[in-house]
Parts: sequence; C-alpha cells; structure tokens
Amino acid sequence: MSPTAALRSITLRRFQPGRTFHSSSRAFIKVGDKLPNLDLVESSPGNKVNLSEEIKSGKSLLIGVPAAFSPGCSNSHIPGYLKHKSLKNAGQVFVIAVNDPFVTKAWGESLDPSGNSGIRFLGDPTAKFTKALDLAFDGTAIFGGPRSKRYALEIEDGKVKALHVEPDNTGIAVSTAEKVLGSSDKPATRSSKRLASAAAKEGPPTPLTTSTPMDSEDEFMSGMSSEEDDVLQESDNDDGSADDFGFDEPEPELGFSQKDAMPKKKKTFDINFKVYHPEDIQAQQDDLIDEVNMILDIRKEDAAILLRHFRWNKERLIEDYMDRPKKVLEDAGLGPSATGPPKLEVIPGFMCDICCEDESGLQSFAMKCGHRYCINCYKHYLGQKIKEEGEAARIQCPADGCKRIMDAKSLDLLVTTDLQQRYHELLTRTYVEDKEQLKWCPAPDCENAIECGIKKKDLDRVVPTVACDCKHRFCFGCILADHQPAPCELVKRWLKKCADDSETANWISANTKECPKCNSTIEKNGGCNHMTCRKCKHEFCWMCMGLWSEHGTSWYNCNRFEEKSGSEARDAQAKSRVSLERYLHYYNRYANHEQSAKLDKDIYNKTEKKMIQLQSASGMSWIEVQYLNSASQALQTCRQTLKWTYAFAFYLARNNLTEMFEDNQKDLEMAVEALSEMFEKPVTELAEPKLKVEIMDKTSYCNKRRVILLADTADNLANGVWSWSINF
Amino acid sequence: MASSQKRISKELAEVTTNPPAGITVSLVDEANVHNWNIVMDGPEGSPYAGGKFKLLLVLPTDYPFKPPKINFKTRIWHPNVTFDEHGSMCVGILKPEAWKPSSKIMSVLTATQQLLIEPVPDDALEANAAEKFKNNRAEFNKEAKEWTKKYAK
Ligand SMILES: [Zn+2]
Ligand SMILES: [Zn+2]
Ligand SMILES: [Zn+2]
Ligand SMILES: [Zn+2]
Ligand SMILES: [Zn+2]
Ligand SMILES: [Zn+2]
Repeated sequence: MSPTAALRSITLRRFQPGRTFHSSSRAFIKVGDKLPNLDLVESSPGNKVNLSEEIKSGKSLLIGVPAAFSPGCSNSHIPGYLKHKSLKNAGQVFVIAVNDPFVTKAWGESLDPSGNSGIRFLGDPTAKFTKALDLAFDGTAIFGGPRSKRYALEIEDGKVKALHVEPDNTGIAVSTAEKVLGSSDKPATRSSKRLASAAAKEGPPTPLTTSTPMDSEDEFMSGMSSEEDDVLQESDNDDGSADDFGFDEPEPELGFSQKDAMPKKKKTFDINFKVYHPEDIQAQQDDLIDEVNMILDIRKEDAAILLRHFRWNKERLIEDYMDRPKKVLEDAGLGPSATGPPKLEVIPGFMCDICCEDESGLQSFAMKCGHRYCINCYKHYLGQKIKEEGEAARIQCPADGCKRIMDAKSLDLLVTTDLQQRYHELLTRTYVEDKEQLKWCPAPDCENAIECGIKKKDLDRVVPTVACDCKHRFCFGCILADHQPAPCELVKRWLKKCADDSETANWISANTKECPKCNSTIEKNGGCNHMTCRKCKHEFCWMCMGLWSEHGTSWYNCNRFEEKSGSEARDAQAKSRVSLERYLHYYNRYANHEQSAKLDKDIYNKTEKKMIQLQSASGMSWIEVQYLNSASQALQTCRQTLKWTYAFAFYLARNNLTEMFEDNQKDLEMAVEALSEMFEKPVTELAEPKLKVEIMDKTSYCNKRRVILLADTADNLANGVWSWSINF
Repeated sequence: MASSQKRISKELAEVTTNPPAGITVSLVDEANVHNWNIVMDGPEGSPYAGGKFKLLLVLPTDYPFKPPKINFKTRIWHPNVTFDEHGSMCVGILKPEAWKPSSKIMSVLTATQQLLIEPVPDDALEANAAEKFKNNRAEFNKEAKEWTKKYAK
C-alpha cells in the first residue's frame, strides 16, 4: 500500500463514517496529471466548458469550493483571491462549485460585480468533474449530496503543477489565496518553501507564533475564524468533540502539511519574540561597531570597547561622546595614547615588572597606555582572564591601577588562536548579557539567543514562554522550562516549597502504591492514571485512589481539592493537617504529571522501536507511524501545562473564576488521560487504522483543550483578576 | 614556577632591605619563599598603637597573577578583620577585581597598615565593631585599645 493510498483510506474512514462513498482505490489527482476530459458549465446549462481543452497551455488556477454562497467561500475564501495582489500573475483563474450554472453565475456576480478580476465561475452540477479529480466528498449531511472539497490546483500547460487540498474537506487553511499565491508581503515562493520545511517538522501545534512575520496572516485568519469554526463543527463531529482537523502527519507527496494549515490565531499567551543564531548576533554587533566607527571616526576596536562600555546603547554613546569625548574615552578604559599601533617589540635593557625577567631578546608588549610587560606574562594573564574567569569585554591592562581595556586587536597579537576564539565567543556573550531584551536559550549546546520585549515588571501579568529554533520552550522571564499558565513568581515559590517539603512529599511521588481493594502492590509503568489491579481487577485512579468508573462522569473532581469548612479545622493541629493535605493534593498531581510525561516518553521510545520493526514486517511507511510522535508530543506538552495548573491552583484563592479554571483543567486532564490510555495500547492494536484515527482525533482535541485553558488563564492574568492566597 | 621565584625573591629583598616603617618581614621557613611572617606595629594615633600584630602572608603558586593571602595571627578588634582565630581581612587591593600582576606586596602591607589607621566600616566583616566605629567612636577606641592590650603584646 502506498503512503498516499493509506492516507486517503484514513481520510475516507474518518470523514465518511459508516458509508463508502468511493469504491475505487485511486488517490487524488496528483502533480503531473492531466485534467479530466469532462465538461463544466458556465452561466447556463448549454454553455459547456472543457478545461482540458481550454487550458492546454500557459498557467491557470482552479479553485474548488464545496458550494456557491457557502459562508466560508463568500466571506473570505474567494474574496481573498479577488483582493490578492498576485492574482494577475496566476494566469486564468476558475472557481468550480458543485452547483448548477445559474447559481454559480449569480454567485460570481455577487462577489465580483464588475467582473474585473477575470475569475470565471463554473458549475459542476453532477460533481462528475470533481469526482474524476477524486476531490469530492459525501456532503449529504450538510449540503444534501456530494460536494467538492475545498482545493486549489495550479495548472501549467494542462498539467497539475501543485495542489492544495483542505485536509478536512471544507476548512479554509491550505487553499487560501495567501497559501496558494503567497502572502502579500513576501514573494510567492515563500509559502511553498515554508510548507516544505513544515512538512519535515513534528510535534503538536504549539501555541507560540513567531508573530512578526505572521501578523498579516494572523489578521487574515482571525477575520474568518468564526465562520470557519462553524463549518468545521458541522462537518467533523464523528467523535462528538467538535474538533478541528487532527492530522499531524507530514504529507510530502501532497506538498502541504496540515500543521501549517492550522489557522494561527493570536492569543494572550502568545508572546512576540525572535530567535537569533550566532551569526545574527555577530552581525548585529558588527553593524553597530561599523556605525559608530563611521560616525565618531574612531578605530573599530575602540568603537567596540565604547559600545560595550555603554552596554550597546549607541544613541547614548554618541551623545555623550559628542559632549565630552575625553571623559568618555577615559571612562571606557581608552585613556590618552602614548605609542603607535600595537606590536611586539624587543627593547634593549628591558626588564618585565611582573616576572622580573630581563634576558636579551625578550619580546614585550604595551597597549596605548605604555605599560610594558613581557609576552609570557601577557599570555599568562590573558589566559587566566579568558579561560578561568570567563572575562573578555573588561580585561584591563596588567598594570596596577591602570584601567585601560584590552582591545581585540592587541589580544589577537598576544594569544593563541583557541584563546582568541574563546575571547570572541565571550565578547559575543556580553552583547547578549548586556541587553535586557536578549537572552540565551538555556538548552545545552544551543547557541541561539531570543529577543523578547517582556520586562521584569510585566511578569505578574504575563507568562512569556518562548520557543527556540532548537525546539526548547522556556520562560523568557526566569529561563526555566515552559511553566504556563503559572506566573514566574508563583513558580519560584512553588519550587522552593517543594524543595522545603520534599521529605513529606516523597512518598507521594513513589512509583508503587497498594491496590485500595486487595492491597497488593501495584507499580505504575506508564503515564496513564487508569490503573487496573492485576490480582483483583479493581479499576482505580492512581491520583486519588478513587474508583475509575467515577472518573469521566460529570462528578469527576479528581483535580479539585475539597476545602473543608472552618468548623472542621478548629484547632491548630487540625488546621495544619488540612493545610498539609491541601498541599499534598496539589503536589501529588503536579509530581504525577511530571512523572507521567517521562513515562509517556519512554513508551513512545519503546513503541517507536517496535514501529520500526512493524514497518519492515508490514510495509507500512515511516510517515504512517508519525501520528504516534504527534500523540507523544501532545502528551508531553499537555502534561507540562497540567503540571503547572496544579501549582497555579495551590496559590489560587477561590473566586468566581476558579470554577471555570477547574473545569478547563478537568477537561484537559480527562482528555490527556484518555489519550494516554490509548497510547499505551499494545503495538499490534496501535497499528489498527481505527485506533490510529482515534488517537489522531484525541491528540488534536488535547492540544485544543490546552490552548483553551492557556487562553483563559492568560486573559485573566493580563486583566489582573485572579486572586491569590499569598502576595506575590 | 621559575618566573614566580624570581619576582618573589626581588620583592622579598626590597621589603627586607628597605622595610616600610613599623613593619618587619621574615620567611616562615628559609626554604620556602611563599610563606612570610609579618610583624606590624599598631600605628601611632590609632587605638592599636603600642600593640605588635603578627600576620601571615601566603603567596599562591600562581603569584603574581593571583593575589597573596594575608591573615592576622594576633587577634584584633577591627571592623574589617574577623575577630576569630582566622583573622581574615578585607582589604581592597587583594580583591580579585583590583589585584593586577604588577601589584606589589609592599602595597599590600602599606594598605594593611592604612586599614588600621582608617577602617572601612561599609566593607565590614565585624558588624559590631563597625557599628561602634560609626556611631560611638569613643566606645570603639576604648574597646579596641582593651583588646590590643590583651592580645597584641
Ligand atoms: Zn614578564
Ligand atoms: Zn596600562
Ligand atoms: Zn535553543
Ligand atoms: Zn518564568
Ligand atoms: Zn487489587
Ligand atoms: Zn482520580
């Protein structure tokens, strides 16, 4: 079975439950195929149009839509093309709907009354053309018959050059004008490039957007999001979850990836940031140095020292320098000059004041301050500063009391290349460290820096999670791993509390517990909390030890700590017991998610190995098993979020918002547990298409619940409406 | 380290042949130029006057790239010296950021002497002494003199 065919069969099973609409096993039309030799109609039933004849040569674009006048099409999809700057470069453009020609004509006139766009609206009344492309789907439930998927086909000389097919049939993601013709601010090639690279990426959709280049798209997408959700809810309710499309599989053959197709709406918890690679960081410094070198007409080495002295505040440097150049130079360690350009010299009768050597032929060096020492002492001194002390930008002349700063040119003359390299690395570091809006990615071996405008004072209103290109997600405020939704200060307090109370809490994170029914020891070896005792088959929840059958019902409240009334806790001892219980309730859940995330990862790794074996045994493709990777990543990410919701809840004082938060937490918790349970099924079951589809659905549902929870907590945090049990 | 030996010998010769007033220097062990015994007279006009204070100066193997270590062996009640058996001292020139390879032991000794004349209460190691030095100079002088009499004989 080819990957494409497998994919398609999944698509069919997923979107046409209980009904086989297609009996043939051929895939969609693909790149290189010719258009079917079938007639469409324009304006009236007699006016036939045969595209295989009409567009034999040159460029053209076919846009397929489910139906004329359907909300998604009329409000944004086709208008997006009508407005697009590159439309004129797209060749002949045809919009094809499964409608009679009178309807498509009327629709065309309503969208483009003047007809200036040149777009032609064609009808495919019996869906015969659409079916031949294999781009029809069973729209009986919504539209009363077969309909066209939403798609765009780029045609060149009568053959398909590229195709963009909405994975969920009717969504508006991959077939938008922006995706097909390119976003309006960038050349058209950008979208295809991005799609290709996105197809190689893995993992759950992250709620982060590097939003600077995405702004136009965000606005574009959010403008249509409400209608789009409506369409999605109508067309995709097979598991009752009203979920968005859940594919996370890369589909290189089709040239698009669903992940990229995810409309990225800007949420309160999305933070603007940029990732800089080492070469970017270097280039920024070089640019500033060049500028100062030009404006102030000083040597580049000195410009660099001055900039570092002014912590890279170019404006202030220039202003101050214009005012009092002498003082600025003095303060930056560039005092009055005594000698020419730096060079090693042999001076007769010289004795080094550091080592007291005076042998003839001893090479010596002095910076512009004139303090002369032998080359060996310089080497030793600089080596110690750079290697042991990690100093670079502020290495002073070795003379007692001299504040002259060692410049890069002099240094390069004196030390070996490996030290030079280290020195320049350290200089680069000071650039990042000196700037408040720049921080290093804390991932080991990662050399990128992140720029983010979030200030210290903002940290009680926002949790600035950023994602490095190395995929590490961390908090820009405190550099710890992503801890949304909990604010930094809360995290600090919580971690300290956990460290202080670790003894008390240790037993709780243990990996074995006793079955509440038969007391036999049960070991947890997967991430899932649904435990079944091997001995008595009792099913219970690992977290609260309660009956599992009660979980997943409306009175599931495993996540909520039931505050005991004050009367029950009159005396101090009882009070302290209640407060310990309360802490343990939250700590238990916090630690459990941390632990479970690890176990889920283990399972994935084990499964991945088996999948590789299965692949070679069954002939399934690597792409076909990627949904497990997506599920694994969703579990990790969601558990990371859930983990912090419990620290969040611990410090939360009850008010009218708490319930909403707990409901969101509960929903995510349940979704994650359900996914985790599916994920732990044996490999033989995992390979079944039905479970595969369920896992994909649940994966996307989990990601969606997470986004909802984060959006809600972040909004309330930004508005300052949470109340806390302690002062932050 | 040969270079270190040469430098230390030169400095030792300078301090022994031409010692600063009120300071005598000798080696703890003639075979080891890294450990110096210092005897410092309490400077006139300070509450330490009349006392003789023993100090130990240790030169690290990496000297002069690393600063020497100096401790009071005689107990002294002073804001910048710990009032215990370590007699650890806080003196500016020995701070890593201030020490330069061309800084000299002579400067360390005179800086120590200067510290006895003029304590730096903002850099205090003994809060109690610093507090009295700042707020009740008479009381401070009295107490410092008493301890000098008791220990620095
Ligand atoms: Zn030397
Ligand atoms: Zn100098
Ligand atoms: Zn990174
Ligand atoms: Zn943080
Ligand atoms: Zn049992
Ligand atoms: Zn439970």
